[in-house]
Amino acid sequence: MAGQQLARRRLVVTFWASLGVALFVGVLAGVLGDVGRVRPEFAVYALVAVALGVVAAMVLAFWLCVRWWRVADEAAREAHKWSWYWGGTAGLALAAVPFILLHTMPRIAEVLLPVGMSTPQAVVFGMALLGGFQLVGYGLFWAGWWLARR
Amino acid sequence: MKNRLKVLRAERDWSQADLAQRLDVSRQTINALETGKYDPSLPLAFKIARLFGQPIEAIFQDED
Repeated sequence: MAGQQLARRRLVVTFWASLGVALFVGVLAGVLGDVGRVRPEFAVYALVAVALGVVAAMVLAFWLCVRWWRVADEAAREAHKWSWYWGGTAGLALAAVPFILLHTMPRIAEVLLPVGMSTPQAVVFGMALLGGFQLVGYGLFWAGWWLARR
Repeated sequence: MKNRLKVLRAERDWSQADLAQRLDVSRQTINALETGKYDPSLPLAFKIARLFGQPIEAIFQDED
């Protein structure tokens, strides 16, 4: 019991330390990105550095998730597994609506997407939309799971 | 699944938070267990049985 509490406290400390590291990596990536814009000859190095920074941040986040999962109690795990499956699937299904609309009626993009959006911006917007739908679905189903068990 | 968790806890004058701490789960989990809206895993059921010194079937009853 005390071991689990100590593990949770360590996790909180590690979480804040990781946020600090992520902030540092983010600032570094931003600086390198600007270097790439100002000095095009360094653009490739800046691109690689930013990509590595993002990968490092993701690995860190995943490692934190694993540590958190080990100290989470079984009901909390069940709530997350249930929300991941049902919330994520429902979000994905809802995200299919704009996807199918844009795929079958490309001209609708002129109405739905902000004016002057470039192709790369539209791709990023689409990815964010997909992730957003899943995240909202996840959150709603997670809250619903706990509300149903109050 | 029905259970006698609330009765057993009350007999010992423990709060939900006390029981949660003894079982190393959250208070919300205890509440979900007591209201019969969440069925524990076998390891947690055994832990509960050991804590109250009773067999699992004396604490949890299948509703079928």
